[in-house]
Amino acid sequence: MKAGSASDWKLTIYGFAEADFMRDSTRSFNDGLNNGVVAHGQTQAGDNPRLQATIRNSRLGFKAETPEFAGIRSSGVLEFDLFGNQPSINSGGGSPGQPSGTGATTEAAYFNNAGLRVRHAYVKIEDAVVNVLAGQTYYLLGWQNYFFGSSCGFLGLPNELFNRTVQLRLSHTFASNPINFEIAAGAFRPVQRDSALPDAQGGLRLAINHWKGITTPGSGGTDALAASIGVSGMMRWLRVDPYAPLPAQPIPLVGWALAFNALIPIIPAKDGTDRGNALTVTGEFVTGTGDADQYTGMTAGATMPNVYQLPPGTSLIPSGTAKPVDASAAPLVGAPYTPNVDPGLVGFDLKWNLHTINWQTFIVGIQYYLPPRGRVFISGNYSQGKSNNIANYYHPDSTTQPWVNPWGVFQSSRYADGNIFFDVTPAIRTGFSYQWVEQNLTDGTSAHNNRFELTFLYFL
Amino acid sequence: MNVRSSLIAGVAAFIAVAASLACSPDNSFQPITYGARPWHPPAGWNQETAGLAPCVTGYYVAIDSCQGCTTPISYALCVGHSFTQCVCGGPAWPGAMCPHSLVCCSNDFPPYNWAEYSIYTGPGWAGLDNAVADAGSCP
Repeated sequence: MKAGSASDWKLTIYGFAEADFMRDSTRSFNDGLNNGVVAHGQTQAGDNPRLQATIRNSRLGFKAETPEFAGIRSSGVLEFDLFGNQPSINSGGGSPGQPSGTGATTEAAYFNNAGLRVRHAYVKIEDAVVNVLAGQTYYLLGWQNYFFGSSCGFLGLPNELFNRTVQLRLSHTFASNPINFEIAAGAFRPVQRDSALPDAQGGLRLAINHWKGITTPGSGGTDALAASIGVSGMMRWLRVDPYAPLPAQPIPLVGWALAFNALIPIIPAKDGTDRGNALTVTGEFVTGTGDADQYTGMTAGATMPNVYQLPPGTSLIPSGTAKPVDASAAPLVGAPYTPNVDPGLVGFDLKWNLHTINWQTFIVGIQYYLPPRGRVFISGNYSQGKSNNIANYYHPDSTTQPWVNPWGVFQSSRYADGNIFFDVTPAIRTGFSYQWVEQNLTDGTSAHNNRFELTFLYFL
Repeated sequence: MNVRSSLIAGVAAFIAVAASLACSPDNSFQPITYGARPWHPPAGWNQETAGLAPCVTGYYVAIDSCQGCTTPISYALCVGHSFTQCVCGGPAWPGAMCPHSLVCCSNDFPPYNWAEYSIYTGPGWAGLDNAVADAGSCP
């Protein structure tokens, strides 16, 4: 819907209503698979299935555009979904990301009374020299969302860069008829506010304008995009309080990441309406350290300590908790310790030095739009991720570090999905998907989950 | 150089720096408190053989020397489960206590909020050096 199309003022309302039904072979996940930890075998969560129904991926957005003024064009976007912060729900046998026991709310309330969450909220100012974007939208790392693959699964898929945050971004596109060359750099909300410095990201992207491929980022928004390759990078600074009596000198660490992306139309299309027999491949490779937050829900189970060590001489039982002094005594607990950094970014080694956690990931996706009009299309994605140092910090021998749970930390993961979509009408899309994820845990075992998902979308 | 060229150069330099970090070692010393430095127990340090429980972070032993210190009492600091760092004595803080059986001068106190480890009186302990236990030696 557009208001005032006769004038230069425009307001676009967009989005979709979505219903998803998913069945998992384990109780590892809520509705989003993302990068959650698969429950270990021989646990209640690992040995039993789960079925969920959700509308939380529905979306509503507003885009406003104002008339050009003194050569400056401006626009603003406000977009929401229904993944708002909500209390945890019941988890009978427990899940890796959720302790067993009664949650703070019911399943019914969690799924039926979904809370609003802001996705994008930004202003964009464009002129002939430079474009400025201020507000919350996708990270620049990975040139999100240009290279996303197509899947019924909620993005980001495992091992795929996908997140948003507040930023101040400068960019410029050198446009010509055959190619566009875009450069961008920006200051981003620091992953750790106590670093007192913003994260920095920058990137270069080349697009071949007349070589277009049909692509669907996720399950909606099908369009023709130009063949493109991109390189992008991130640098960040951390100042983590040591695991020691405070005040003490924060530990300085540097995180970084490099990403390479490509969108290749194998069987190109003329434009967004020319979907029949179009084949497009997307790909991404990322290497970095201290960058887990760039992946959706990614901690790999790498938690930080929440209590100080117990006094010397306190006996520990194998689970790492304090042994009661006698049968009637309550277990001893250490004084609370509050890490000043989110989990998943750093970890202590056995010499108690703090390190950033390394990750290398890649994901490739393929999508084919069947003739004659592309109303039916199929897609598949495969991804892998591996950390070459997380097992050093979350190892089964870390019995002197009670917060370490090697049953709940993965050091590598693989993911694959296959999807088929059918556009019943231009406004209605259905999809069916199979998603498989396997993780190698730091105790040397592996765990996997199978998910079947049915999706219905109505586009506004 | 115009704005666009500057932006290109900046982005390229940024990516180059990020790439160079891929080869950077990550083995720098991490002080456990302000002023801490690496420390190796002296010969004969018999914390374990004396039957004492492993130490934990937050506990100290008063020692007679720490590199670069001029205060009579220094402190070996437990990091994890062993004494691997030390720090000079410092000013008193509310609730500060001088190590057992020693007398502290005004700048001989342990680091803020650290507690004394089970009494250790073996080699390296500050109490073996009579001078440091003498309040009369304070400047």
